[in-house]
Amino acid sequence: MKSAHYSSRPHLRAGLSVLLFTTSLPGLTACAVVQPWERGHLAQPQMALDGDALLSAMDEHVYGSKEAASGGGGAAGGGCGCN
Amino acid sequence: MRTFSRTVRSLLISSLGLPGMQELLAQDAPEELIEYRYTHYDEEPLPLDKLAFGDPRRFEIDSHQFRLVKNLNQAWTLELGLLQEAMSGSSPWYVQPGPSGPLQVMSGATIQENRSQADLSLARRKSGVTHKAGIGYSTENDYKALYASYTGEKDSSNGLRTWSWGGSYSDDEISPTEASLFGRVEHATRNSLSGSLSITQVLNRNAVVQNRISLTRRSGFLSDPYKQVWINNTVLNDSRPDQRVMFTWTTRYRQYMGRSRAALIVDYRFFRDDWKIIAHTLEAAWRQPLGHKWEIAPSIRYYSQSAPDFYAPLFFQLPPDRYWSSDYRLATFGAVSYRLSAEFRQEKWSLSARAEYYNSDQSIALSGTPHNTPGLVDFWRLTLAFKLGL
Repeated sequence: MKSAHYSSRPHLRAGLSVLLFTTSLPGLTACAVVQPWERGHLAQPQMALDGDALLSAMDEHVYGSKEAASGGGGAAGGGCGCN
Repeated sequence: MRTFSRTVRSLLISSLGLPGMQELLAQDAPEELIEYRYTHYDEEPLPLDKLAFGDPRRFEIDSHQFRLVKNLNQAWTLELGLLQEAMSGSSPWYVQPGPSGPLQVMSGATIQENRSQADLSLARRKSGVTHKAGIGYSTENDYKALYASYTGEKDSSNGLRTWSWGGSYSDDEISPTEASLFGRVEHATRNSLSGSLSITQVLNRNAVVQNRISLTRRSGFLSDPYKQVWINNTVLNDSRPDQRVMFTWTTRYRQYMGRSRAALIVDYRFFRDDWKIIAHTLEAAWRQPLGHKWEIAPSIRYYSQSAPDFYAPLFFQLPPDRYWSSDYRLATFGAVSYRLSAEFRQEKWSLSARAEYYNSDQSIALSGTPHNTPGLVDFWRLTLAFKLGL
């Protein structure tokens, strides 16, 4: 096997991004208070954050097989995708 | 678990003020169901003016997916997923110089193989926290993957914010076909370890946003055993670093559009890895209900990536670090997907369909060194699904 570390700087960038992500969260407390009886629109199916589970898994597999980037969708799966 | 109509369900949720964010946002609800999905994937043939030799017909895949969600009791939910797919076609092999630019060499014989996958997960909800653990196995004639995952989720006390966290591990084995005939590695392994953190926040009565970060580390044999590279009149096997660390930041936004009852969907993902690939993905959709039974949703997806340093269609000298690849999927390129979906819902069941056309081209990349990459792919995809509530 060849050298394990191609570059180490992205680790630092990723760490900084995690720090930015967590430190930016208190800003979200400024969001509006939405009472339970005001949440009907948010509960509509067209507002769902995650779409159909099987379609999301297939999308992630297809795009991940044809593009260099993958991940971020939360779906797990297998397969070579070599072709 | 009883199945309520969408209207009754949303009224119940909003009037009772159920604290669970998943219920509130109508996502990942523990609704018992059986689902079947068929997908046909069809890559367009390689244009003959980009072909050196080989079969220009590219991959076709037929996939059958099955999913069962069953509540064992108030707290536990079992989920089973099965997949079977049949693949056939020829595959880009390497690139060689042509009279007016690089030409793609395709594999000569049609490849035919099948893949099967099974997933099983258990979720437990208690005191506003959901824990979900799953295992899965995927097998095809030259590749096996065994993987496990965990996700946790916790709602805030007012139900307006959800934290989720998770991790997964995959252990993969590669045994390329005709290894000795083509000088491929005979057996290799790779593994992948991933972690993620996300926060979902209700912004107001019509908008919600989710931010997610993930970090994935892959190690082992990360080259493609079926790809080769032309290096100054010699053809060598694809050679990539044996470790890759990938970072993503994903933001997803949903906006309810008032009287039209439509939802505007906007998703963005930033990707960066230590192979120096940077990628951006932007998706936008308009989900429009028509009456109480129909919904149509046109959507568009834009993707752009830059190439790693070890990618080139052709190499005219041996790279000193001994990493090289001319796999078109590592090239600088952009892609646009045009999609249209429709769904018909009844009280206990639904039918849905989606058609997609994916077009890739190096000229629409946002950044990165442009290359003349002959193997870039365009494809069609059609998927049909039937869902039955239990």
